[in-house]
Amino acid sequence: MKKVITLLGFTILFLTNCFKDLDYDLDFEGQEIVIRGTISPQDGAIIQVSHTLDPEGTYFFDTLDLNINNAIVKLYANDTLLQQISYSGKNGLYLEEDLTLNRNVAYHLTVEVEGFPSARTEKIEIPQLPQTTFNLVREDENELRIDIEVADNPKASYYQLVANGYYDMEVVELYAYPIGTYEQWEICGLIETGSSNGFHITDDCFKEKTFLFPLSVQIEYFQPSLDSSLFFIEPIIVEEVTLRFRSTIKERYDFVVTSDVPEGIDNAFREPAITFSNVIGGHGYFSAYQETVYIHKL
Amino acid sequence: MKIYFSLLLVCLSSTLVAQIVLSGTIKDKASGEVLIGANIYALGNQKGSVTNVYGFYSLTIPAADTLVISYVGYETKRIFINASKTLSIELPTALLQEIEITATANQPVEEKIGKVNISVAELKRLPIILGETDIIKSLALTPGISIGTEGTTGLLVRGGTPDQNLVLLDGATVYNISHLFGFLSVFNPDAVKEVTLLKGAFPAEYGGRLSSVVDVRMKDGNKKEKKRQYKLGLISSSWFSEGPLNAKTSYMFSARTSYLGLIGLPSYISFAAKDEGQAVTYWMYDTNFKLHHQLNDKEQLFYSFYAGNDILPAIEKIAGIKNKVNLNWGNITSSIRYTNAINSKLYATATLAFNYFNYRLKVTSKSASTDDGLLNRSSLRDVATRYKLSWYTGANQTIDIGGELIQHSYKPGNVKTFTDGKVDRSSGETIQALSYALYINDKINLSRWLSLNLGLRWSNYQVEKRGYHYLEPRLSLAINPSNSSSVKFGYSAMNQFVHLLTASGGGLPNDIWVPTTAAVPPQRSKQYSIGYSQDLANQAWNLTIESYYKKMSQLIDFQSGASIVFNSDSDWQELIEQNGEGITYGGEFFLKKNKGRLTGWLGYTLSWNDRLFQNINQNQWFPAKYDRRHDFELTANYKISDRWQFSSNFVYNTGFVVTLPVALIEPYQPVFTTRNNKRAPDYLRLDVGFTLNKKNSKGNEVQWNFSLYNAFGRRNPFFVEYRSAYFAEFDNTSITPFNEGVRGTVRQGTAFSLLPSFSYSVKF
Repeated sequence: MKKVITLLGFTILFLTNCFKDLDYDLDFEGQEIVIRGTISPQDGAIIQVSHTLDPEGTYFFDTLDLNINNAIVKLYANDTLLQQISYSGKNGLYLEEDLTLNRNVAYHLTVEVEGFPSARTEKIEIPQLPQTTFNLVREDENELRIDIEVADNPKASYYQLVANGYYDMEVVELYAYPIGTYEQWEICGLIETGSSNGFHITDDCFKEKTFLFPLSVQIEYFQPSLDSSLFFIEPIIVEEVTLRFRSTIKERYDFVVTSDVPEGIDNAFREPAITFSNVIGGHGYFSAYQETVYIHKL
Repeated sequence: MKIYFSLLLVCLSSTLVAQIVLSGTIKDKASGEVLIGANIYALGNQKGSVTNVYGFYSLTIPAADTLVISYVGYETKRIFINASKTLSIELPTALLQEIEITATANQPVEEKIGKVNISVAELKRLPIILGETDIIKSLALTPGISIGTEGTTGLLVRGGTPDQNLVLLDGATVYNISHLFGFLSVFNPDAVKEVTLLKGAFPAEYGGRLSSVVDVRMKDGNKKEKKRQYKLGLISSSWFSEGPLNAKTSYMFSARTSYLGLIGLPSYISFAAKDEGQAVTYWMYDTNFKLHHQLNDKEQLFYSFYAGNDILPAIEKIAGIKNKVNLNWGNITSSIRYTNAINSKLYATATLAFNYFNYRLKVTSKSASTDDGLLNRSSLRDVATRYKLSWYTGANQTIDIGGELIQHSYKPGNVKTFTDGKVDRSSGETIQALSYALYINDKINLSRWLSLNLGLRWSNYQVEKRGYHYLEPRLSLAINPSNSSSVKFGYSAMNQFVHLLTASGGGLPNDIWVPTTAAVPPQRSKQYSIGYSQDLANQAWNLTIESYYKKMSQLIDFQSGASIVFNSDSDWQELIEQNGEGITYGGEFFLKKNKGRLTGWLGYTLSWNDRLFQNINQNQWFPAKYDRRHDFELTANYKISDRWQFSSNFVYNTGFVVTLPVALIEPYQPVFTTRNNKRAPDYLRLDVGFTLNKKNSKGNEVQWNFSLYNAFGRRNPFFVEYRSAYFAEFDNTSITPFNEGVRGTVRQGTAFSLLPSFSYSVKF
């Protein structure tokens, strides 16, 4: 793909003799609330609240803080207040582990922050728990092959895999990817999540049948070096691998898909997608999942 | 329908009375080239006829009369006729001063509605910019017609997309109409005799596209003497020759190449010297060839050939890895046509045509340890046969009956990848399809002030064991209150069995032509148009005002965020949204000056153009990529003296639409809420050119042209994008930035700004 990009870059350079910044009014309507929220019977509610920025602004990393720590976040079940979600104390995260969440119940959130327009999400439901079995094959010293057998369920069409390791009392992200070509899995709706330890997939490839999902997990962890002259030290094999296989809902998948924004020359060749949001009066997503967890000690 | 048949019977009954039937061809006296669209008018009977694309006419008049034969740029002839006969006429070219006077003399005013016609004489009077007259750019300077952006090739007619134009070169379909991303048209003006663009009220003869028909006819070749011309220019150079091979056969040959890629030559020299760095170049060529053979007085045979290619190679070598990219694309068309003037009232045409469009991208990456590559090819090929029988009933009526059969072969995207020099994956498919159509078209002048063009086309398409069958009614009704004014209403139902998948708005070579398949239905449209045309001041001026409404359905587009460029391995049918709708409507104003030292036109279009797809823009209507509210053109050609001529184009149009974010939810994460919510800056361009015509010491015609494209040097947008760019600030004491962050900007890329050029040509 880089080669194609190279070609297009050359073409653009050849065709385009100059660039010019434009003075545009981009219709920024002031700061609004951004919600990234999920609920699940296993983990409760994990809600991050932040705010939007003017797209034509200049932002310095050391002073930029988008997170909102004084929000009033309320979770409703069938339009009845279920719980006010309390602030975790950092990163704009509002957490509540002890929640009883059930299927066939319509949940939604409201978020109030002083100085911002109030935001509420559309209603969502908890998806069915994925029926999975994990079969492990140790490929070599630094790689596991895990075949995940997924029984298709007409009420669960979107899935997410998250791979983590455990080393020296720390949770670390492990590189996990489906075995086969990217194009092969792309047809199945595969989308990378932005971090290397997971991806989303739809059931486009395995409707009405049991599906075998061959997965490769790198079990070595490159611990950042304390010596600033070295970037990494030797990789360390983690002590434990945790795979979370989740059934999610369309809203989560759509948010990931539409957040893939074309950049650079790519802009000239495809239209950006309209960014998914099920937040009324703000932006972001409110999603739900159920997960089966596989833990393998090494 | 009963009324129509009653009128038909009345008209046909008039043919039973003893009449004078005239037929024949009208030709250029100097070259013997037939003249398309020449007028034959019986003064006393006030009846007329127009020559067809083979120069043939048929006219039936009730009594002896004086005929007036006229054609743009030629002397008008008057002949007294008192008996039926075959009458072939040669018209001498008018002197320059007379050309200005006779410009569009006697052209029926109703023919100026819904149609743009550029004859051989008018071709000479079009502005010469960048060293030559560009037919596509000239068409785009008339109302209702535009091109995308600079750097794209698409011709956009009445809100249509680039694929919705049926472009025919001597009967063969041309899929790619431009070289160098729209910089030059594939139609070498030296080789072209006549161009006609229909944008509404389509005759039933034409089908398979929704928005326009562009019929380009090549010169048949001089029948009387050999003529040659060479042209040297900054952008391109060409060679043209024509002449008789014997008493019955003539030929025409032209070839053209561009060496614009010389701009990239220094980078190649530098690359060759260092074996490191980057280099890119470009070149193109095209060639036209035609043979015409007069079998006898009635039968003719034509062979036409066109081949053109664009080649864009690029190379880079960095850190021991050599990447090579070779992009080329082009057309080949070929046609054999046979015509037979069976008798004075019947004219038959048979065509066998072939066309091939090919796009090929090869990328290789080599190093000491790797030899990988990718080959992406897309092509389509048509083999078409057409037959048409024209019956000039003699009652101011022409009935055309015909049919066509086209075998299509599509390869929308064949991909091969190479690893270590071996093919490790090959994908892609060939889709075979067959289209066929039968039609009948009746053009009837019911009275001096009322004419009707009624047609019915039965269009069919067979692919993957599925058939699509449509009846397409066509209608135009012209009311002519006087010889100098006309009101015309048109209706056309059209179906299109091919789509262009484009992520750039049309025109880049990596746009993929894809067929209608069992899963992807054809595009459909219904267009209504009404126009008024008025000749003024003895045809020195013409004013045409038109309005149209076009509804399109079953359109396709890329799914949100998808691009064939970045999904070249995927099945294109997986990447598209289907069942899109489109509505486009607007008004067109055209004021043309035909006489005097100053000729030219002023055109203005006010239009709206919207689309609706279920999964794009949350099922809400949004402006189409080239929705342009205002489109204004002013074209002027001023004859300063017998030797000097000044040409100028001024173009203004509303900027194209673009999707830009309304907020950021992370420093690098823009939020888009509406498709095409903003507009690029308006497009503004002024071209000027001076042409010097003189004779050299050998008596040969010499022409110098000096021109400035985009004389303002305005940076018109090629694309507009949003960037959230990283920046870092350093001081002199540390390699670590003391400040870093992101800055959001909207920027535009410009394809071409001010571009001077010259050309020098000699005819001998």
